[in-house]
Amino acid sequence: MFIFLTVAEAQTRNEKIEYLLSRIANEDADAVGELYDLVKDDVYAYALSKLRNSEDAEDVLHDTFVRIYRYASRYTPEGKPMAWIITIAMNIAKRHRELKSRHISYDETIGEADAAAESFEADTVKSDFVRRLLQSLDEDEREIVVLHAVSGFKHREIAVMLNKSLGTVLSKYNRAIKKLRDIAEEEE
Amino acid sequence: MNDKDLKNKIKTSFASETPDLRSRIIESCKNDSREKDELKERVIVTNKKRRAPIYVKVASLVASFLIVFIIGAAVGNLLEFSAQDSGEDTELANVFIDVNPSIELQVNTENRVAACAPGNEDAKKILGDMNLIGTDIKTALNAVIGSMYMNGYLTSGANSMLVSVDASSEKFTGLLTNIVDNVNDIVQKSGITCSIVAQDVSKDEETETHAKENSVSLGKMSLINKIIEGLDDYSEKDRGELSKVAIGELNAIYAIMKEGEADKDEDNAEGETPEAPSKPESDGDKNESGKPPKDENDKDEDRKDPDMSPSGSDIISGVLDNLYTDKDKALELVLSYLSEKLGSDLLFSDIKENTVKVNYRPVRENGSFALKLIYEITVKIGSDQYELEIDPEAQTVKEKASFIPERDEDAHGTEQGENEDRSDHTPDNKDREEGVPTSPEHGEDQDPEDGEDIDRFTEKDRH
Repeated sequence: MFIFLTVAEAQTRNEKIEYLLSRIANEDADAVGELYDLVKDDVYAYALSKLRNSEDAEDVLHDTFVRIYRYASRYTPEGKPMAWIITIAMNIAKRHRELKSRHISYDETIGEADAAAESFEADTVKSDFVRRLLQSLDEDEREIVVLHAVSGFKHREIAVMLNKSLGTVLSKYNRAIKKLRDIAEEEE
Repeated sequence: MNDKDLKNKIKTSFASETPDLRSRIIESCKNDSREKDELKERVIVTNKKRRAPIYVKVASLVASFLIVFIIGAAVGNLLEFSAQDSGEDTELANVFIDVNPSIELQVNTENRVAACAPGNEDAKKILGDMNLIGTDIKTALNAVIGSMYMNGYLTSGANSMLVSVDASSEKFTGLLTNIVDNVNDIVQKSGITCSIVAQDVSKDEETETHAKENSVSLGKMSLINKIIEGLDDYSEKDRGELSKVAIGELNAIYAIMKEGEADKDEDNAEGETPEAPSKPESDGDKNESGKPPKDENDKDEDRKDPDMSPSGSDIISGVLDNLYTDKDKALELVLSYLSEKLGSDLLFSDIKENTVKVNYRPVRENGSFALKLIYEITVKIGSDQYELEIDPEAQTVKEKASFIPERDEDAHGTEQGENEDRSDHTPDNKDREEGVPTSPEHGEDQDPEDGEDIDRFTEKDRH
């Protein structure tokens, strides 16, 4: 059951998101736009880090918001709306990749299809830094870095979301940060 | 570039990539309304949370208590030092050496071992029947490191060690550096690569309790505390999880965190005017963090308080150099080998799957027996699978078998995939297909029973 807050009362980002989800649960399509403004960067960055293809990431961004609109009434406010939203994006990205590899697999072997589904199309990414990040980090590192640096999840929360130990998350995060620091310093 | 700047750069760089889909999404949502209404009629939503039965919680609690009680008692007994005959008033420093075996030495002001104790079962093997009491610290370190090598805890590949010194007296100034120099000297002469983190620690009651509860040495727990201090927030559960992490990984995490902090400190130092020292600087007043010396009376107080103890006095030797000598380095060697073999520039992300197994192979070196560390690696690139053997010391890659054709499996896999596709569209799997989480922190494919402490958002009637 939602606890309705006024806009003025919704102070923190999470409170704002929960307030908007409560409006979306009442089929307020305009609230989707406001939620989009608030969390679009988080969702897109996650999708891009996972799929390494801007067109696929766009699809995930779109489908995530449609699904949020469809199922907002199922969200129970407990102060963690971003974890709920990112988990939706996570599942859509996973499904997207599976479907893409199956689609390709009609005329290619499974291995080739998987490779094609995960291939990195560097030209579709505008920022040099993001391109190099996507090239140099493995999938786990990319997910962890984006969830922490872009969405602000704590390492412990990421460990739960990705079903990994805290030690693994910290280790992968710190190694990734070291690689990215080198890249950033090269750019300067 | 410090951590904060780097995080900002990551955030802004990704933000610049986000496309504008606002109006398209709103339009899609409006079109979806009708479908949503139909769906709502079929789905019964309840907010009942699934919780583990109470007897499971009680059993877990009792088991946790017994484990903590038994391990605590065992470690407590192990750490009781044997009687020493070096005099009652002698000041002693506690030295903890952690590889995986965890050994505690007590050293007197003449740098001689007054007592030693194993911190865990592995350490009992290392110490065996050795009597280190009365030997100088270098001889003791030599014996301990030699025994670790003979027992396979240190190898000819890359190794990690944590050295921690708990000393309240000024007479032990320089002991930490002395130990690190000695360890470096010993391992270099033995042809071993060993990265070291060395730290001053304080044997305070809280850290000691945490160390006992998690069955780790005071040194390892002190390092974990420093890592936890660098986290945004933490819980006791984190402390337990990090206790299970190997010394090499903890050293790497800490070294990278310190590297980030060093950049931050440099930024902060610019523009700050250091206070003029009130007394002439002596050797004992020097510290690596460049902070002005404190009042003489406060010095011992500071050393006992972990919060006041400057972690800038820690020594980090070779950790960052050897950061990638383990699994990453082995995979780098594999990439380089396969890039040459396949004639294409492969990246880490091209490796679809990999398994890395550490193994030891008995070899004869200069007529004596030794264990050589090797990595047995299986990687999948595209549809090809390669089985390779890496010698990290010689940096060589040897191929065991390559190109395992998967045509038959492919055919089966495709068929299976099509079946999965069909089954996914059954009404029972609607939620799964939609990818809506039933928990804020768990993905759809995770076993819900695993998350007994995680509140579930919804649970729907499967009809």
